[in-house]
Amino acid sequence: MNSNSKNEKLNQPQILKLDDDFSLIKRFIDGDDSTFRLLVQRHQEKVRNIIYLTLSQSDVVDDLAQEVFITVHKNLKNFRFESQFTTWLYRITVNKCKDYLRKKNVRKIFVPIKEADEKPEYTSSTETDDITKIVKEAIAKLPYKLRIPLLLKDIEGFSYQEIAETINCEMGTVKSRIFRAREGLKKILQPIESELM
Amino acid sequence: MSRESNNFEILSAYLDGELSPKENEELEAKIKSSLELQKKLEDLKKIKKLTSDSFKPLSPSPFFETRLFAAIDSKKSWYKRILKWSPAIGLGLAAAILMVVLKFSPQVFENLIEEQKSNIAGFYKENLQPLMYTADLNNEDIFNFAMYKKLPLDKEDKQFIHLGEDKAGKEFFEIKSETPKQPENNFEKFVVALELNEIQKDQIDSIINQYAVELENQILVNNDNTLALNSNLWNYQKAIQTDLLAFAETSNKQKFHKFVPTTVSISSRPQVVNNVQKVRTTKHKGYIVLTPDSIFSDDIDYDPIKLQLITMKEKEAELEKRNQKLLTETERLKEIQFHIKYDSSWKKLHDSKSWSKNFNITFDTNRCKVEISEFDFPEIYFPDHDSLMRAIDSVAMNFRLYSKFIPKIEYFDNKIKIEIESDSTNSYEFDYYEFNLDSLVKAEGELIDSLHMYNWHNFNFFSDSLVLKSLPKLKNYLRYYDGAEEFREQMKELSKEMRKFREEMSEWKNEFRKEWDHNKDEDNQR
Repeated sequence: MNSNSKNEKLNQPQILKLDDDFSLIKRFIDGDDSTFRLLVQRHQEKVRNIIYLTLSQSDVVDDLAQEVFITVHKNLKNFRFESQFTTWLYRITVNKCKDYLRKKNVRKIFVPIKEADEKPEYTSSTETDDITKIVKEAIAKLPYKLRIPLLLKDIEGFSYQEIAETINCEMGTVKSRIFRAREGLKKILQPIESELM
Repeated sequence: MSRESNNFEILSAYLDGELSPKENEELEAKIKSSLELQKKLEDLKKIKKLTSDSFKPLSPSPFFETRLFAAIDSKKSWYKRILKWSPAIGLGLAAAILMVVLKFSPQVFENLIEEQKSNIAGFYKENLQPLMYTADLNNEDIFNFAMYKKLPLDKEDKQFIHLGEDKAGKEFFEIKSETPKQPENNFEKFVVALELNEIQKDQIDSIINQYAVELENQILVNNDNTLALNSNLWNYQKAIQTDLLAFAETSNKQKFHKFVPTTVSISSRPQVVNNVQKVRTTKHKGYIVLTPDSIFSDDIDYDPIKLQLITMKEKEAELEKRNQKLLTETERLKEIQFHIKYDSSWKKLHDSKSWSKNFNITFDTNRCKVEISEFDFPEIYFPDHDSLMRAIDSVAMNFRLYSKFIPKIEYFDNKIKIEIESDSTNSYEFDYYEFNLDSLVKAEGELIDSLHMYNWHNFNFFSDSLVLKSLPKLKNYLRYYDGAEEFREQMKELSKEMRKFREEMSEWKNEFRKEWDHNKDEDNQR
């Protein structure tokens, strides 16, 4: 009896809430601009954190998050409802971060080495004894393509599937990159392994 | 990738919960049997924990949302700007289109304006009825029209229309107010003065009746306070005047010259009749239409009553029924109240300068004068009319003086009494010492603000026709009223006294100060 009722519940079509992402987007497409604010309120912290994790810099987080949402606002009317809104949103976020880094690397060629060789803010010498900061420093040393899947998994709790969609690659690649990131991290932290573990 | 590395990779995925239950089962079996895998799993767990603990969520940015939406607004402002200016762009486009249209067919606007004009004209031209029905014109009215160029506009004779020509010969008409007065009976006096016999009386009655029918369609009015004057009206006035005087001369030359100089003769009656006939037979559709908000000239083809009469004649069987209907209709038409309020809406007409350049309206509390500078008046030539008109005007004046009662004026020490027999409205007493301008004006039947009267006297800017009417009498009496000179003298005296008093006070003050200082010095010395 119980199992039957459970099945019935599962078989029922999923009723969308009025304030879920798709409903809000539909209302936005129908001309209700105010729903965009709701989307922003709902997802801004996640977007800001992904940027922070990806770039390891807090001073550019808001600027980039702003660019992300402006892009979303501009293109939301063309949203095709084929994937989750968050998948699309995070992909835009990650791409913005990539663009930022690419520009930054280009800039590095033309600026003096001292200025260009800036360290992530959490690596200040006064905080080197702090395990968290050491780990952050180690993560920051990981290559971008390894670092992002690792952080999306371990910090943001994304599934491999979500990560694959976000960074636009195969799930197997995600699995591999996350493992390689962990391996790399272990190597970086090996000198102080006894203190950490 | 080595087999070992592949196993560790799966171990990493196992740790992340990304394996299927079957894969989990298989891997867990392997882990149990492999210390290496167990150790690796432990390492991976430690790394995962270190990573997970390393980042704490960013604190919320309180102004993020505000900045974001400001940025969104500014981003889309280029097209918002376009939207904001879209009405202007639309107007610009419309202007460009208009310029093109006007370049190739400049008469578009004129046509449009003309069309609107004709719509407005159509509105005011609706339900126009002959003045005969509204004002109930009688022989006296027609006679007064001929002699004094005035016709009442309503039954109570509250307003009348006055035709005229200025010195340059340009026609004008005025609408004036007139207080209800005792009937002047000018026509009756005219008949009595000429000592007409019964046949002649019938003849003159018949002449006037004929003109009454003719005049029927010359002045049309309606409930929308529209007044339409036929362009031939000025000719009609001349024609009736000339015809009546010619008849009078023919009937009783001796009596006729009691009020017409003997040098003037209108003896060529056949010629007069001939020209009068021309006035009657020439059909003119041109009307000057005066409405509460415009004045214009337009063609009005008005002849409904006559048409109805002709139809009735043709259908004798229906005569009685139709006649009854016509009588009812006539009674209904007589009910139309006509009153032009030239103190409100026509004032606006004057201020707005919206009337045609062909008409010039001057306006005050007592009248509305319309000067017609350019209008196609039908020209009917009356032989020697110019010289005749001067004589006729004097005739009209003489006849009025001849027929009017001479007022009895009595002078007293403190007042003047003017008494007109059988006309109490024009009789009044004027007390020099108890001057009341309003009473004087009241004597003329209208109440005018006394301040205006006074201002007008001093500054001569209030040229109201009603005031002008009172001018000759006022000039005589205002000297008793104007005490300004005396007041000025008194003020001069007062001013002198005040100056004297001030000087005395000043002297007294100086003396007091001296004494005070003196006393003070003495005290100090002690």
